[in-house]
Amino acid sequence: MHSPDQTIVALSTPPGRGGIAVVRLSGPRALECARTVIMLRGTDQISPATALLGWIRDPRQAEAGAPLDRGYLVFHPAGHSYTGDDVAELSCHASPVVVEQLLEALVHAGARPAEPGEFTYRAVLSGRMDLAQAEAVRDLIEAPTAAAARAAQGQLRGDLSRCVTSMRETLIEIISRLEARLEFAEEPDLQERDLGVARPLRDLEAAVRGFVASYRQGRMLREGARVALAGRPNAGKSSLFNRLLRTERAIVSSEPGTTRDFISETIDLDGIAVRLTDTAGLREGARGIEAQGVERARKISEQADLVLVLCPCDEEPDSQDERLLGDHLDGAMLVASKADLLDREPPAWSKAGILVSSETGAGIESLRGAIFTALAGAPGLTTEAVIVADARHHDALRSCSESLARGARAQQEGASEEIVLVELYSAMERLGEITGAVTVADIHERIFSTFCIGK
Amino acid sequence: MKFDVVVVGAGHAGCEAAHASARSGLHTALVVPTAGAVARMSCNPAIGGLAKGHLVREIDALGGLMGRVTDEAGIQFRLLNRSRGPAVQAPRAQTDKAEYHEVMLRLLRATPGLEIVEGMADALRFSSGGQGRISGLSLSDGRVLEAQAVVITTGTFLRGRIHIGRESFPAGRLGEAPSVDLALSLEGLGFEMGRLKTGTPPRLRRDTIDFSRFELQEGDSDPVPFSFSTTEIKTTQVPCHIAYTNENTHAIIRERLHESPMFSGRISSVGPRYCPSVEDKVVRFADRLRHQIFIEPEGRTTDEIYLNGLSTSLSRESQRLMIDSIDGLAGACILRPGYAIEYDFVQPTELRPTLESWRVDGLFLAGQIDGTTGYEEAGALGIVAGINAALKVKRAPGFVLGRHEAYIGVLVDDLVSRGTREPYRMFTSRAEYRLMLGIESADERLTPHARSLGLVDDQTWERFRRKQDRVGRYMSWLGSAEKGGALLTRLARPGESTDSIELAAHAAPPVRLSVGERGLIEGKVKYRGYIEQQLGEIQRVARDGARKIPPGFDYGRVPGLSTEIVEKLGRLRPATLGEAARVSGVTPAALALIRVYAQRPVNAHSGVQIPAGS
Repeated sequence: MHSPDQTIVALSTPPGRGGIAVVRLSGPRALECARTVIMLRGTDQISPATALLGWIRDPRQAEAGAPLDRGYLVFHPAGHSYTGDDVAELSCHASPVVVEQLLEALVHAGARPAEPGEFTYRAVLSGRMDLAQAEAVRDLIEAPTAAAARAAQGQLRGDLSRCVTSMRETLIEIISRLEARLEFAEEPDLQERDLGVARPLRDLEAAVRGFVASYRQGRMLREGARVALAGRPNAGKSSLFNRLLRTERAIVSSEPGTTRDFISETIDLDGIAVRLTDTAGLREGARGIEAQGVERARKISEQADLVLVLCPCDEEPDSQDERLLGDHLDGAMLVASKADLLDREPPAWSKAGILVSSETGAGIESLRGAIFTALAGAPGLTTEAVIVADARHHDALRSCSESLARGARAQQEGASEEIVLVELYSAMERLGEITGAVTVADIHERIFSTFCIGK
Repeated sequence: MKFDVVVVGAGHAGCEAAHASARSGLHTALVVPTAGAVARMSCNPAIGGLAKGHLVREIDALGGLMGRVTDEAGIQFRLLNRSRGPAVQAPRAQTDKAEYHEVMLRLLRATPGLEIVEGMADALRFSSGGQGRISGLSLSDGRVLEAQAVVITTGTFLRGRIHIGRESFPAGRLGEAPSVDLALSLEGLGFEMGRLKTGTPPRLRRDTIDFSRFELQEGDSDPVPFSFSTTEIKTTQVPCHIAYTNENTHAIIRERLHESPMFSGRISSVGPRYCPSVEDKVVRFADRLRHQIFIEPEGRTTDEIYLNGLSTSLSRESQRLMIDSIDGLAGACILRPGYAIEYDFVQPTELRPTLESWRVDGLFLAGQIDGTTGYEEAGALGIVAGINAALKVKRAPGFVLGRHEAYIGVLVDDLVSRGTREPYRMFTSRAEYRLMLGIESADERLTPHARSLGLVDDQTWERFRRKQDRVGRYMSWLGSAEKGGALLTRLARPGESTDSIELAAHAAPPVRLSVGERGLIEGKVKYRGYIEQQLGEIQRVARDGARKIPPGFDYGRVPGLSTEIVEKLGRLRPATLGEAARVSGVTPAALALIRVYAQRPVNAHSGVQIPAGS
C-alpha cells in the first residue's frame, strides 16, 4: 500500500471555494500523470521548479471537450522536492467541481489518492526530514496565529534539531571523558588529569532546563492560551470580553447574573491565540441554572493559564476575589473595572491591578500588554528564540534534564563514574528521541580522537 | 580418524573451544602444527584489563581455562579501578609466556576426550551433495579427521603477511608460515572476507637494559585472582617499569614515516585504534612531548622484554635508532623487531549467535578470524563455539547469552549482528547493562548455565552453592528489621564499604566475607536502584524482541528499506523482531517500519498525523 513505487495525489489546499487550488502528485509517475491533464503552451521542455502555463482538461472526455480551466504545472524532480520523489503540482482555480474532476482524471491516469500525511511520511522515509521536522509540518499547518507559524517554521528549518544536536555534542564530550577514564585505567596520564566535566555538565543541565521551561510558551503559541474572566456578578466581565473582542458578541445587561453559562472566543493578541472565556459571575447562594454556571466558571478559572479577576473600582475586592488571586499566584491578574464611573481618585487597591473602562476603552491597551507579558514572558521569546512547542519534545527534554540533574548531583557527591554515566546515558537516549540515536561507536570515536590511548 | 568435533588451531580460542567440547562429553580433536605452539601469547605478555578481565572471569564461570592458567602463570597481578565501583574493577596480570603455554598444555592433556593432533589443516570436507554440511577435515599429510562439527580458530594466520619497513613477506607470526589454502577454501565457500591489521613492538634482551632509568610499577600486595577456583595467589611478583619516548625519538619517527607500510599507503587494512603504533601516536598527537612505554618482562626466567606502547612497523634500522634515543634502552639488544601483520578475517555477520556459519552447517568460526583482537575476546568466542559445536552434534538447541547476562553475550551479539570494520575489542561501555556485569557476579550469572551444560564439576558447583548461601545470609543481615535496614542504606552511599559498615554495626555479621564476596555485595547494594530500573527495561526489550515476524513476510513490501536489507532479511528470515534487530545493518528506524508492517499489513503509518496533501 505504501510502496514508494506508487504515485500519490491529493489536494494540498483547503477544500471549498477560493482563489487558487493546488493538486500535488508525488512518485515516479508524477509528471507523466500531470501531463495527461494539462496541455502546456507550445513547449515539451519541462524546466524544474518553473511555473508552466497550460489548459487543464479531462482526457477521459471527448477530444473536442472544452478545457476545465487554465492553470500551471510546476515540476520538482526527485532529490529536489518536498518528499524526495518526483513531485508535480498543478494549480487551478479553487472550484470544487473543477478540483474534483481533476483529481478523478489523475486517479484515472494512474495516481492513487494519498492518505493523510502521506507526503510528509514519504519525506521522512526518504530522509528529507527528521521526525522533529515532520512534526513541525503538522504544527505549521495547524498553527492558529502568525507567531505560532513562525515557531513551527523555525522548527522546520531545523532550529530545534540544531539546538538539540549541539546539546548532544556537549553530552558526547562529557560522556567520552568519563568513559576514557574508566576504560583506560592503565593509562596513568588519563588518571592524573582533571577531566573538567563538572562545569560543562552543570551548564548543559541549565540549558536543557531552559528549553523545558520554554514549553509553556511553546504550547501557548501552538494551542493558544486560555484566559478566563472571573469576578462577582455585574463586575463588567461581559463588557470587557466584548471590548477585547472588539465586537458585541456577549449579551450585556446590568442585571446581575445575566451570563448563566460561559462564552468563549479566540482573539489574536499580538501573535498569541488567546481563548478568552467569559464566565458566570461568582456569588454565594446562586440557585438552579445560575448555580451550575457558577460551578462551571470555577472549573474554567482553575484550568485557565491566566485569570482576570474583575472588581468594579467603586467596590472593594472580597474574599472570593482574594481566593482567585491567591490560587493562581502568577496566573491571575486583578482588573479594576468601570473606571468611567469614578468621580474621584482610583482606590488604593486598584494600584495592584489594571484600571480599565470597557465603556471608554481607557486602559484596554495596557491590559492587552499585561496579558501578553503574563502569557509569553519576555517578548523576544515569541519571535526569535527557539522554543519547544511539541509535547513529545517537552517530555523527552524534561526527563533528559532530570537525568542530567541526577548525574550532576551524583558526581558532586563523589559517586564513581559508572553511576554518573548511567544517568548521562539515559539523558542521551532522551535527546536521541528528538534527532536520532547516539551509539557507543560515536563515544569511542570521540575518545580515540581526543586522547592518546594505547599502551 | 573419527571424532565428534574437530578444532583447528590451538591459540586462545582453540584451546577453550576444544576443552569445552570435550567437557561436554564429546570426542574432540585439537589440530595444531606442533604441541609447542599451544596457547602462545603472540603479542603482549599480559591477560586482563578492563572488560577483558571481565571476559576471563566469565570464561572461568563457564568452566573455561584462561583464568586458571593466568593465576598459575601470572607474575604480576593488579586490580584496576580499585577506587571505583565494583562493576568497573577488573584484574590484569603480567604472565610468564612459557609457563602460560605449559600450564595450558598440561590442563588440555588432562582433559578426558580431548586429543591433540599434530598436523597442518589442508581442506574442509563436506557431506555428499554440495558444500552445505561439514563432515570433517583433511590434513596436509593425507590423514582425514571425520567430525560432525569443525571449529576454525586460525587467528592471524589466514593469508598473513608481515611488514617491517619496506620488507614484507607471508607469515602467520614471525617465523611461522601463514595459512593460505584455508583462506582460499573459505573464500571459495562464498564467505564475505575482509582484511585487518595489527602490530607488535620490538623485544629486547633484559640484561642489555638499564632499569635504573625507569619508574617502577609494582603489583598489588593483595593480588586478586582471575579464577573463582583460585583461593589465593602466592607467587612472588615481578615489577614492571615505565620509560618515555622524547622529542628526539619523535623526530626519528617523523623523518622515517615514509618507510611505514601504512603511512606510505602500501597497505590500507584497518588496525585497532586503541592499540596504535608509535608512528600513529606521534603523528596524531603531535603536541605531545613524550609517550609512555611500559617495560614488561615476558617471563620470570626468560631474557625477553616486551615494550608495551612501542608497536611499530618501521624498518629494523629505524627501530634501532628509536630504541637508542630512549633513556635506559640505548644500546639494548633487539631480539626481534616490531612488525605489522595483515591477515584475512571472515565478516562475523556470516555467523549465527552460536558462531556456526550461516552458509555451512556444522562449521564454526572463533577467535581473531571473527574480526576481534585480544586473547580474552578470542577465548570467549572459543568457549562459545566449543559449547555450541558440542550441542550441534548432540542436536540440542544452541547456547546464546543475552546482552544483560554477560560481556560474552555483548561480544557475540555485536559481532554477528553488526559485523566489524576494525579489530573488535571489548570495552565495558559496549555493555548497556554494565552495572550488572561486574567480575564478582560472573559465577552467579553463568555457572548455573555451565552446570546444566555439563561443564562444571561437582566440586566447583558445591563451592559456588556455598558462596551463594553465604552471600544470601549476609544480605539478609544487612537488610534485617532490627537495624531497620540502616546498614543497607548506609552501604549504598558513596565511600562506604562492607568493611566500614561492619565497624559501625552493633552485631557481628553472620559470615566472614572474602574480598570477592565483598565486591559482589557492594555491587548489589550500591547499584540496586539502577539495576531494578534496568531489569524493567530488559523485560520491555525482551517483550518487544519476542514479537513474531510472519514466516513468509515480504520485506519488499516495506517502504524505505534498502535493497540490501530486504535481500538480507529475506535470506536470513529472522523469526522475531529481536532477531531482526541483531541482523547487521538493520537500524532502529528500519526496525520500526518492519514492526508496523509485520503486524498491520495495510494502512500502517508513522505516528505523525498530518492532513491530506500536506
